[in-house]
Amino acid sequence: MTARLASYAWLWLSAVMIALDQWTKAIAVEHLIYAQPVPVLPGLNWTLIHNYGGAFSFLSHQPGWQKWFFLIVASAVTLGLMEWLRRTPRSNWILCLPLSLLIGGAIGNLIDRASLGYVIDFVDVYYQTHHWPVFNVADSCVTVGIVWLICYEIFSKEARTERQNGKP
Amino acid sequence: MDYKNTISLPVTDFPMKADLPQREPNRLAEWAASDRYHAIQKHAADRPMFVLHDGPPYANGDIHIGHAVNKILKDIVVKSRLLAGFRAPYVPGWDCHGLPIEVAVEKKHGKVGQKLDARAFRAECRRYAAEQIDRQREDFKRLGVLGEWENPYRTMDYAYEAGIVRSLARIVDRGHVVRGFKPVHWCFDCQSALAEAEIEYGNKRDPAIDVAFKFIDGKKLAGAFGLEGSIDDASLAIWTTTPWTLPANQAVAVGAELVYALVKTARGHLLLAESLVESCLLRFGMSGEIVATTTGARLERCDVQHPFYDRVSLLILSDHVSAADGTGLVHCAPAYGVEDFHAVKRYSSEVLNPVGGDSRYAADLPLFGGQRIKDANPHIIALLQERGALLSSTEFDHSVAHCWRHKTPTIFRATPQWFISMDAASLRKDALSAIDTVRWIPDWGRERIYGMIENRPDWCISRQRTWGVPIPLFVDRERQLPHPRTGEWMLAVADKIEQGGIDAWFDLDANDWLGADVDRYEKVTDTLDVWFESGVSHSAVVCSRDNLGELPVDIYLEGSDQHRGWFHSALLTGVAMYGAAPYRQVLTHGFTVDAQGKKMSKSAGNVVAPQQVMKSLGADVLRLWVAATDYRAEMSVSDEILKRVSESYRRIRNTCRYLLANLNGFEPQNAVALDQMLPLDRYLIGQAHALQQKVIAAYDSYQFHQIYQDVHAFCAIELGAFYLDVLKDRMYTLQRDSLARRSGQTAMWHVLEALTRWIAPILSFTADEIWSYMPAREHPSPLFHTWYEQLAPVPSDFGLNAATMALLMQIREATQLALEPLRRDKAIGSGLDAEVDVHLSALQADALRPMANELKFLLIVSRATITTETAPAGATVVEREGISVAVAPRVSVAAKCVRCWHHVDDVGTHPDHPEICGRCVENVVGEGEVRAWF
Repeated sequence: MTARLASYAWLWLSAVMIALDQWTKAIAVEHLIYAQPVPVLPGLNWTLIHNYGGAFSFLSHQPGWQKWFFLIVASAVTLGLMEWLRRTPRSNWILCLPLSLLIGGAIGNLIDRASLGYVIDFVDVYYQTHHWPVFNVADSCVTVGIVWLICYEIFSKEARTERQNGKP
Repeated sequence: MDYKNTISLPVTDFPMKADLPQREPNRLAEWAASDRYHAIQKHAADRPMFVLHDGPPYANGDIHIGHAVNKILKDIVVKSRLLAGFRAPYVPGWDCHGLPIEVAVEKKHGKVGQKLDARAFRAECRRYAAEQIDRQREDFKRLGVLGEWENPYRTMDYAYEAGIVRSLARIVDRGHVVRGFKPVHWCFDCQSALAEAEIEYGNKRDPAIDVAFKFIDGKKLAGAFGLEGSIDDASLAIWTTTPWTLPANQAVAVGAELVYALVKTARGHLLLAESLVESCLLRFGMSGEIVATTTGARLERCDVQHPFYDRVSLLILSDHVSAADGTGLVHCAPAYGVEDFHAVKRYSSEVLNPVGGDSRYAADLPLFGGQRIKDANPHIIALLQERGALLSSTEFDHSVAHCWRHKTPTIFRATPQWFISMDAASLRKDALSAIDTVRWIPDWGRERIYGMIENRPDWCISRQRTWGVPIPLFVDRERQLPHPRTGEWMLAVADKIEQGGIDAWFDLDANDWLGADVDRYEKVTDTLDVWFESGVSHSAVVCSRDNLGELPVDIYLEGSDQHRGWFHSALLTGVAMYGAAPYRQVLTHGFTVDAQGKKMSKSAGNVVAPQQVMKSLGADVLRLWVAATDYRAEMSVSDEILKRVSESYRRIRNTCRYLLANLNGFEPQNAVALDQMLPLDRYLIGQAHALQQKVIAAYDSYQFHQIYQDVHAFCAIELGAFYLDVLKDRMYTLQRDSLARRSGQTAMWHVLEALTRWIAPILSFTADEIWSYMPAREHPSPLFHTWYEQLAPVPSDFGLNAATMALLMQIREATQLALEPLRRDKAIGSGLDAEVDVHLSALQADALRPMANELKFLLIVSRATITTETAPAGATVVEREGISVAVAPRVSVAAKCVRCWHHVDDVGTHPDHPEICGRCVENVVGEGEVRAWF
């Protein structure tokens, strides 16, 4: 039993990311005025935004039920990732790390959505007048995790293919 | 090349068609699911309080348009106070006891004691009222009224019933309640006293008789006329239509100032008012001559003999005597007439009251004991005839008071009742001075209630009913005074009522309380006037709930009939309990009438039912009508009026929709700071700021129709006819992320943020719907927010100052007028097919020089040239306050750019883009166009 759950030790990383996410959000809510950018560096503002929808305001004006929709989808995804993590050997950090980041990021935003009905975003990256959609630490975890996983899949596939082709 | 994808056309999912009847219920469901009322209250928990205390509608029947107006006005006040930064709770209430519910229950179950005993009857009343409340509640919620609907106050709640008794205990304790014996409207069918409001007037045929009363002291009478000796055969004459009250006659009244004549006739001397001598003698069939005259004042206490009882009737003075008809002398039975009662009170404290509540004379009354009064008239007339006291007898049709439910004539009857005395503990004086601590809106409300309080008689608070809160007293059987421990006991009874409702008193065994005194005291079974019940809501609701702050509350808001009703009873009870008015402000609204100003009635077919409006037009249209109508006067409504309102609604909705559509792809991080915005956009923000100041002031002073007019004009004129029109080119053809386009979007975003808040108290459903499409929203509804703070007046050194802007608007107007004939002649399709020369003075031209290159965008033409040359004949001149501008138009001969539709000389100069102009080339493949002004 213990052995099978061994890779759950990686959830400590998720927990750290969740804590970091919630802490930075709390600071943002405390210090920022809604939708009023605070310049930090050229190309970076802190801008507090409440996001009611998914990416690109998907479903954001559907009354009420989008909250439940996103809650259910996010919960299902999180459970799926946990299962994937459980089946992955603890020592396989190259897979465990992105999975735990994804889990942390998903839960970080899930907490907002369940308690507030929206997600707190505050990182506003831009170049001249072109702005990236405002995001948060949890989004960063998810993005890094997904990019990592995609790369992993591509490279491990190449590795497999190379092996099958009998190359060294 | 296809340039479609290089154009940013407005896009939004926000529906053009409102479909309010279908969409509003969904939004209501969402408000319910997210517990919107409490979420807002929680969000506003730390704010200062503003309490609108709800006046309870009566829990009987479906709501009508008057109810809807009242609740919508309240909702507008509450929501606007939320936006003004207050925590504005709203606890709706219902008035549940009283006669109409008893009548409804009687219809089904018969009177108390027939099929149901009093306890079961009350249970049935309670059930009935709860049902009615459920029906009304659904309709009120459907109007979009935000409040604590799942936990309202109901005057039949045990806690409220107990609160009524506690309030009464306090008023008793402060010495305002007295036991009285007064004539009140009495219905024999109800076997109860009726309030003034329960009286209708109807015609009735009664006997009309003249009766002679013999003078006792002939010498005194002669003296009153300044005559020598004694006049021993003299009588006075009275005229009455209620012979049955003669057994209770105690006095005859004369007017002190009136002139009375002593008339010598065949049956002896008669005393009559001088001016009525002729008509009286004619009626009596007599002839006679005037012997002497005197004033009424000199006749005081020349007492007379009762016509058939062996007792004296006093001859008294009273203000209520007139010489308009009758004999100029008034028969007084103080038990059966209010004026008689007051007149006789000054001479005698005794009140003869031989008629029981069942309409029969008391059994021990000589001659007529046990008879029904309505049967007694002929017997009394016959007796008078026999005694030679009948001077004339005929019949008379007149209008008399009837019971509103039985439609039977009522009488005035002196009954033992409980009163709140206006003067015993200076209630009248204190209430009058409390009136001036209150702001009355409109201000004539103050005069109205002042006059009523100043002149009203003592307040009879007891009723003899089943479905009402008891007056829980034990009184001394003989002296009719409350038991010495009354104060303490009333509070104990209140605690019992809080546990078990009003039945706790009716079921209570007097032995348990009185012990050995049980024979000396009796338990009072009277109930309280329902106006007392609702009147003390300031105590039973505001002071008893922990979320409604303290007295006085900020505002009471009801129809203008409530100066007599709820405002009145709340003021009197408030002053009686605390020495102060329970409210700071009282706002009244007029009644609802049809388009012709006629009262609504089923028979006239002009009824507008709110339920029907919900199904056809939706709540927001009705709400907009309420806001748009000046409530200080009568409020006219008809299908036609509502149709016009729904057109205004569409204008506001479509303006918001167009703003949303232009905000496609805009997020707050794209916003441009105010000081970097284009001057025209900055100007719009300034305009919106000025309007918001007006809107806030109008909400603060409850002038909602002003808001409607201003906001509608802003949408139609400032935005629709000017700004949004000018901005089309910039929004559609510039690069998506360009400063100029983002600046315009930022202005629209700020305006929409503000505009949605302005309309949120009125168009609650639509404001929420708009809100859900906002680029980003801090909270789920504008009602969590306060007035928008990102608007600002333009800075003092602003390039587009008021004078420049006025000049530009004047040029724009001249341009539109100048283009009109070309458009009519089909020489041009749109303004972009034309060019204009703008002829200005040198000074004006200088002022506009910096923006000359962009003037064509403001005028929406393909070229605008400023010139100081004299305008040609035929140019369009517009003059304003001595300043004139002239505009000369012509059709453009330049090629038309397929992308921006401007006719410009440089179309086709770029080899890769032969169909578009240089500006568009810059926007499609270059760095992007830069705008400095418009």
